[in-house]
Amino acid sequence: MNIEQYLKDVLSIQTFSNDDPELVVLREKRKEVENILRDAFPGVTIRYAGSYAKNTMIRVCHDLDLACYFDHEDKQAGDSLEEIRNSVDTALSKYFTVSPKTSALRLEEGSPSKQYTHVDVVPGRFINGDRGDVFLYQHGVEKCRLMTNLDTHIQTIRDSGLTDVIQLAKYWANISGIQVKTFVLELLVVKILGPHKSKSLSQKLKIFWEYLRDNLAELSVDDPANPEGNDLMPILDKAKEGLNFGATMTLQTIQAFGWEQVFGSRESEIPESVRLDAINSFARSRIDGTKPWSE
Amino acid sequence: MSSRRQPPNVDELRNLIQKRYPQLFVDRNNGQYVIRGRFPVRAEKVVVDYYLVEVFVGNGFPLVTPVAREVGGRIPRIADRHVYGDGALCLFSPLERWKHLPDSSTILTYLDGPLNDYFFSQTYFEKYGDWPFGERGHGKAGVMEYLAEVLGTDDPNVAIRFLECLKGRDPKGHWLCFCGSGKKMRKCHLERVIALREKVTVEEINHAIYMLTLT
Repeated sequence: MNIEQYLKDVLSIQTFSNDDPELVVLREKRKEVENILRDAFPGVTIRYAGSYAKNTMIRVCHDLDLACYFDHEDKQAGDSLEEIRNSVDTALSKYFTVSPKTSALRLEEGSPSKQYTHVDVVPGRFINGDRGDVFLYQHGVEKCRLMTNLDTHIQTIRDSGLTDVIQLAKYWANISGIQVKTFVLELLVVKILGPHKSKSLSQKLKIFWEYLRDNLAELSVDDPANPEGNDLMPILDKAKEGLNFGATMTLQTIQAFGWEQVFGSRESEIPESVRLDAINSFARSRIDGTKPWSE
Repeated sequence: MSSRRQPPNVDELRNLIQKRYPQLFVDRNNGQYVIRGRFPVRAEKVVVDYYLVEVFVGNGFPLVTPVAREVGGRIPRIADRHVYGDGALCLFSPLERWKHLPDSSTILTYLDGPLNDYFFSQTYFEKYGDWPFGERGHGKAGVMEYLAEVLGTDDPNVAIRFLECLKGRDPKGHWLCFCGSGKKMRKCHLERVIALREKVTVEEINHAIYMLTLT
């Protein structure tokens, strides 16, 4: 097996083509949300954020992230950041079930059988007239104001020259059962592989995993939009054990059985509908399944 | 009570597991087997999910349930998700171990059975917010739920006497039943006592008594 070709095949399965039906749905969803918000708040800035903007979207797990930013002097949604968030929440709640996340408002809809079922809208306000830095309101945490910059985030990842590795790293984390915030994972890839961009895909992945396996204590990332103000270490610390363990097991797997055991083969991919059917059928048919307990 | 048998060596255990779980690696550490890696959750023949796991198997297996941890960070370490604070998973209440890990169990029985059921339940819960096979209440409540199913009563005093009977002398049919019915054992709960006596360990019984006597 040619490893590089295999990894490119894995990547191509996970990457959406421009005319993919799921992307068409995603763009229509953006229009729908954008129309609702522009009706409520004329002149507001709506932009793609997240993996769509960074060119790191993968098929197995993706959602739509939208930034909803008000100009510095724009008070139509309120004076304070909290008022802005609440106003956006109210506008969207007429059409969706809205769940509050820390910075985002999550719009739930669609059937459980859909690959993605939510849209995250992040309300904020530009700090000044250059429409770069923004303030966001953080719900449910002590530090309720966060400064960030969407362009900086997008450029750091999209222009890193490492989006292919980032996609495979995201896929790996998802299929391995590793819980890690996507943004932190992206930054880790950029930091660890910055000096290794000229290497092959398999070499870059191995270097990435070896670093996660061998340098757990030194692992750190900074938010490029606000390195002094936004501390990402608590988020990274929560994920360290999983990343370290997962990387260790993955390298062992490659050594013992090869790359196909890590990402699977084309033949082993199953449609989400088949997966869900199997889950529902097993739940109905399993006799005397164990009932979990805890002391 | 159930007897213990000679544990396999590391290579035997690896051979037993490898074909079905190629991404689980077996080592020996401090007198225990440690199984680590990516655990595939199966719904019949379909792999529906994966979790990163670490399982410690002591020499007392299967009478002593292995300690499993989910290492990927997917499952919150809270009682409502049936995970202890140190990450250990609670697959079933100890008194029900015999149903899921009988004396003849191999490590494959454990992986294919209760561990798979547990992770399947977590995947199902993530998707639907519900436990597909039900769940036991926390602590004392969960122990009592099981005993109520066995005895047909939710009286904790009857349950405690039943447990004492399980670990005491061989019960005689002419004894008055522990449940307080006034009937002889042979006309009441004798069969249930006999059925369970051979299946549960003294440690499991004592643990259940302890749980039921907590205030």
